Amino acid sequence: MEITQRVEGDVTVVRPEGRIDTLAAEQMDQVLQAIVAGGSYKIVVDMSEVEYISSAGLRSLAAVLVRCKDEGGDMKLAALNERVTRVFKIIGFDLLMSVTDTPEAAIAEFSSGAAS
Amino acid sequence: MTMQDGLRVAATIEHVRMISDFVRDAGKRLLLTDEALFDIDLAVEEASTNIVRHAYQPEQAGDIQVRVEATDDAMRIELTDWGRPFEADAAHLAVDVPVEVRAEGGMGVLLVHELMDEVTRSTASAPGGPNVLTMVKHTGR
Repeated sequence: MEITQRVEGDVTVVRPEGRIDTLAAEQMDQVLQAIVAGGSYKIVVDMSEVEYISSAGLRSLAAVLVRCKDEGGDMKLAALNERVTRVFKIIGFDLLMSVTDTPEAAIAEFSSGAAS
Repeated sequence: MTMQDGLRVAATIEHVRMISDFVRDAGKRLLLTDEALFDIDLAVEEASTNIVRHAYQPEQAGDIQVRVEATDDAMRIELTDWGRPFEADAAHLAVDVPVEVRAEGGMGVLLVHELMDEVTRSTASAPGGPNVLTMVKHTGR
């Protein structure tokens, strides 16, 4: 799975592409954990190119979210497609995580200091 | 029209992807909607991963078998293993359990039940016997 990242101010934007199945989730988890280990606790995950996610990916996102919040930061998700949104709702992740329509909106929430 | 197909592989995480591809290809041949394909795909991955992680001990080798049967209005997927019967923790299925707790385990079980129309499980009556998980998706064609 292709995962790109960029830094906008103090926010790290991560953009996975394709299917986040159990194996791909391990790869994404390594990327996210490395960002947190590097001291960045404001993360936006741009999901616009993610067509599928299973529970392994959700577990990774939940763990990274908790870690970011513990350090006074947050993780926000952006641009979920309809099917991924449905998975989030089944699990209840829509209540746990901040989800915006675009990565830019998520970045803007960080700069305005809005709570998740 | 009725179609049947099957695959039996060693139960490893790498093979879960092979099982997913197999079932997805069968669904595509049946011209299922993208939405039905997504639901079946995710349910099969979750159920297969649970077998790999929970039915067999880490040092224990074992197989997982998938059988796909399609009729005009439904797709039936059977996953069989010969390991320890998997008992879903009922607490994880409860909707009032905090999401943080659900994230610890049971998310896969919850997804399988939510995404498929019928889910039944028969467990081995003796050690080494087959455990069969049957999942049905009504395709409404």
